[in-house]
Amino acid sequence: MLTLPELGLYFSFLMFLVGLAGVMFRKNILFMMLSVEILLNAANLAFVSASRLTNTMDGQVVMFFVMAVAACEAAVGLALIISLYRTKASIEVDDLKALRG
Amino acid sequence: MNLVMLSFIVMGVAAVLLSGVMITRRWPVSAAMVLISVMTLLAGMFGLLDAHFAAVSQIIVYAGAIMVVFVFVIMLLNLPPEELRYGGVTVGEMILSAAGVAVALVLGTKVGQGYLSVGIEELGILKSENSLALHRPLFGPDQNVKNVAATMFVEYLWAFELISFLIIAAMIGSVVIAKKRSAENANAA
Amino acid sequence: MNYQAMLAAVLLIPLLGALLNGFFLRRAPRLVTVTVGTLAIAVPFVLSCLLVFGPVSAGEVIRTELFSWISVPFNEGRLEVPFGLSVDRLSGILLLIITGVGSLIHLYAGEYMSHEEGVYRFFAYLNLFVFSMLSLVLGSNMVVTFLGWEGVGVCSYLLIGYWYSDEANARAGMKAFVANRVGDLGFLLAMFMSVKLFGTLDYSRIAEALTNELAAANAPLLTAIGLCLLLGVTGKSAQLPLYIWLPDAMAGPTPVSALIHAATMVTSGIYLMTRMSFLLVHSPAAMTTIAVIGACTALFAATIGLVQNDIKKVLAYSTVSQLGFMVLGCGVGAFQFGVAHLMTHAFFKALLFLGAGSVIHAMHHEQDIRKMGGLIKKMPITGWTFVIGTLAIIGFPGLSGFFSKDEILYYAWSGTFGHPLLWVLGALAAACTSFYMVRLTYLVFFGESRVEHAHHHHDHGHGHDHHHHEIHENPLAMTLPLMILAVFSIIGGYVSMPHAIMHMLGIHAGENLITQWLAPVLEKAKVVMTAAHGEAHGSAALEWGLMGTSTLVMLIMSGFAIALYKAGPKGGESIAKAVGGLYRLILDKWRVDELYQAVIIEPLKKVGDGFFKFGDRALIEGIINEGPRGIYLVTSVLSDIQSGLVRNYLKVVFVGILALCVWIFI
Repeated sequence: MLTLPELGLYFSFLMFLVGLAGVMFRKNILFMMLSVEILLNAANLAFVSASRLTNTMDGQVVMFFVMAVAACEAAVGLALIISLYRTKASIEVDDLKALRG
Repeated sequence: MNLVMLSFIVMGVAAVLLSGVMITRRWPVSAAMVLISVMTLLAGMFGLLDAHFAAVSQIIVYAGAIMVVFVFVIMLLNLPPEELRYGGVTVGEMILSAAGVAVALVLGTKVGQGYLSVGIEELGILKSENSLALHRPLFGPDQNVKNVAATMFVEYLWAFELISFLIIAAMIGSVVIAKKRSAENANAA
Repeated sequence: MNYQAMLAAVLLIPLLGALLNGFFLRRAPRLVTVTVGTLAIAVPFVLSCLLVFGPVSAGEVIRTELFSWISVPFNEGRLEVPFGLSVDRLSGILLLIITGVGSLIHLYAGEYMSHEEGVYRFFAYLNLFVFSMLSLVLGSNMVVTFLGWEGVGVCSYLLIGYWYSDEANARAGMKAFVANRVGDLGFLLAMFMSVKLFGTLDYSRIAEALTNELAAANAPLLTAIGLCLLLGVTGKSAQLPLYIWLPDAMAGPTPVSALIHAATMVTSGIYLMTRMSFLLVHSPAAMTTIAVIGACTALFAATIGLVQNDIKKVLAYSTVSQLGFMVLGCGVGAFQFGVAHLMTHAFFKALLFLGAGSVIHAMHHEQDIRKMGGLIKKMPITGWTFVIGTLAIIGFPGLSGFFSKDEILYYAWSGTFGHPLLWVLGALAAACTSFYMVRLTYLVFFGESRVEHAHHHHDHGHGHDHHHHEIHENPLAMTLPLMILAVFSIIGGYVSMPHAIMHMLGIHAGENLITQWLAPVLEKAKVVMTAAHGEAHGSAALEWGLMGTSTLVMLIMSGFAIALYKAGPKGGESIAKAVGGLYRLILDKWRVDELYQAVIIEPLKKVGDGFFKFGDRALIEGIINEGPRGIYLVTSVLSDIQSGLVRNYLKVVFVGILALCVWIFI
C-alpha cells in the first residue's frame, strides 16, 4: 500500500503530464501560460510530498521559492503577451515563427 | 484506508481531471476559473501532507494574487472569438499522450513497490546528524510555520535574498516591457 | 638617436602619415592633410640626409631588424627572413631621391589638388606609396623588397585610378596592375630559385654564398635567375614587352606621374638589377638580354614619342625610353651609370612632369599640345624650368642628362658587355629624344598661342568672357619645387663626369664621383667582370668621338624640330605624308596593344570561353545547380524540424524525457 507522500508524487506526475500536454497541444499563448502554471503546481506538489517523504523541511522551502518564480514568470510573461498582442494583433504561437530554420 | 488517505486520493484525482478540463477549455476565463479550483484542491492536499504554511500560501499567493493577474490580463485582451479556435488533437499528439500515460502507469507500479522509499533510505538523508528532523518534531500542530521559517532563514538565507532580487528584476522588466510600447505610441502621436 | 632607430623611423613615418591621413584625418581641413602628408616625407628626408651624409658616406652599412618575419625549417637548417632594413650607398642614393623628390612633389600636389574633394585619400595613397618604395630600397633581403615591390604596384594602381569614377582611369589602373603582375611572377620565381640555390634571401648573404665555384657549377640556374629578374624589371620599369601600362598610367593625377611613373617606382627595376649585379654578371647571356631589351625599348619608345600630341603621353614614352637607357647601362655592366642616370632622370623628368602639370593646371586640364603655344610669356617660371628640363634630357652639354646619358652610350659601345650596335640603337633613341622633346617644348611654350576659348569649363555667364582666357603662373607651392628640381637638373650630372672631360679639366681623382660612391656596392660585380672579360676597352679618343657625335646629332635634331614646328603643329605633316604608312603605324604606337590583343588576349579569351562552356556551364554549374537540389531536399527536412514553433521543440523534449524515464526506471 502506498503512503500519502508517495501518492502525492504520483498525482504530481500525472498533473505534470496534463500540463505538458497543455503546453504542447494548445496554440494559444494564454493557455500555454496557464498550463505552465499547472506544471509549476505539479512541481510544488512533488516538492511538498518529498518533504513529507524524507521528513525534512527543504521541500517546502523550495516550494515557496518556486511560487516566487511563478509570480515573476506570470508578471513578465503576461506583460510580454500584452506587448505581443499590440504588435501582432494575435496571440497564436503559430504566427510567431521568427525562429524558423 | 483511513479518511485522510481517502480524501487525499479524491482530491488528487479531481485535481488531475480538472487540469485536463482546463487545458481543453475554449474560453480563457473558464480555464482560469478551473485552474483556481485545481489550486484550491492542491492547497487541501498540502494541508493533508502537514504542510500548513504551503497550503495557506497556495491559496493566498497562487489562487489569490497570481490568478487575479491572469484573469485581469484575459479581461484586458478581450480576445475576439475567432482568436480562440481550438483545433483539437492530432494523431501525433495522441501517440505522445499515450506514451506519456504508459510511462506514468509503469512509474506508478514502481512507486507502488516502495521504489521511492527504498531509494530515499539508500540516499541516507534521514541519517544526517545535522538534520532538523533528529532534534524536534517536524509535523506536529503549530510546528510547521516555525520549521519552515527556521529552514528558510538559516539554511536558505542566501537563496531567499536572491529571490527578492529576482522579483525586483521581474517587476522592473514588466514595467519596461509595458512602458516601451506606450512611449512609442506617444512618439507616434 | 642612434642610426638604427633613425633607419626604422625613415621607413615608418610615411606609414604613420598614411594611417593618419587615411583613417584619422578624413574630416580634417585641407591644410592639415597636406601638411601631414608632406611632413611625413620631409621628416624622413632630413633623417635620410643625416644617415647618408653621415655614416653611409663614411662607408658604413646601417642594418636593423624590426622583427623576425619568416622562420621555417629548410634543408636541415632554417630559412630566416627577418623584416630587416639596411642602408648602404646604393640605397642611400635611392633614399634621398625618394624622400627628397617625394617631398617636393607632395608640396606641389597640395596645390595641384586644391580643387579636389577628399584629398586625404590622395595623400594617404601617396604616403603609403613612399612607405612601400622605401621598404623596397631599404629591405635587406628579397622578401622585404618584394613587399615593397608589390606595395608600390598596389599604390600605383590606386593612384592611376584615383579618379575612379571615369571608367578609362579604372581600366588604366587595371592594365598597370596586370602588366606588373606578369613581372612580379618573374621576381617571385627568381626568389624561389635563390632560396633553392643559396638557402637565404639576404642580399649580403647571397653575395657571400655566391662563389666562383658555385657560379660555375650552376651557370644555367644563374642565367634563369637573371632572366626572371629581368622579367620583373620589364614589368616594373616598363621595358619591352611589358611597357604598355606606363603610357596609360598617365590617367592618374600629374604629381603621381611625376613621383611614381617617372622618378621612383619605375626605377626600382634599375635598383634591383644593381643590387643583384654581383649575380647578373655571372651570366653573360642574361646581361646581353638586358642590354638588348634596354636599347630596343629606348629606341622603340622614342619613336612613338615623336608623334604624340598629348603632353603627358610624350613624357610617358620619353620615360619608357629613358628607362631603356638605364637598363641598357646596367646590361652593359655600367651599373653605376644606370644609377646615375636614374638620379638625373628623377630630377629632370620629375621637373618635366611637374611643369606639364603646372601647364595642365593653368589650362584647366587641357593636355593637347596643339592647343597650347606661347605659354612662356604667361608662365615664365614654369616655362624656363621646363626648358632647363628639356635641355637636360636631350643631353645639352653641361646639363645633367648630358653626363649620365653619354656615359651610358659610351659604355654601350665599350663596356664589358657592350657592342657598337647597342650604341647605334642608343644614339638613334637619343636623336629621337632630342626631336620630340624640343618639339614638345616649342609647341607648348613658344610660337603663336593656339589656346582655344570656346570649350572653356568656367562659364561665369555674365560678361566675363575674356576673364577665363587668362592663363597665369601658378602659386609658389607649385613653382618652388620646379625651381629646386631645375637646379638639380643642371648640377645633378656632374657626379658622372666622363673621364675625358675630367682629364681636360685637370681633375685627377681617378674615377668620377658616382663610380667612387658605388664602388663598395659594385666591387664584387667588377671583380667578376674583370676576371672574365678583362678591363673595359675604351679610350679617350673614342669617348670624345662618341660624345661629339651625340652632341652633334642632338643639335641637328633640335634645330630640325624647331625649324619644322616654327609655323605651328602642322609643320610635321609634310614628313608624315611622305612616310604615310609608317607615320600611321607609329601614331598607333606600333599597334602593340592591338598585337597583344590579337596574340595574347583573344586566344586567352577563347580558352576562357572554352573553360566557361565546358568547365563552368557543364561541370561546375551542373554541380552547383544539381548539388543544391539534393542539399535542398535534405535541408528542407532539417528546416521543417526547426519550425520555429516552441510547441514542436517541447514535443521533442518530452519524448526525450520519456526515454530518460524508461531508461532510468525500467
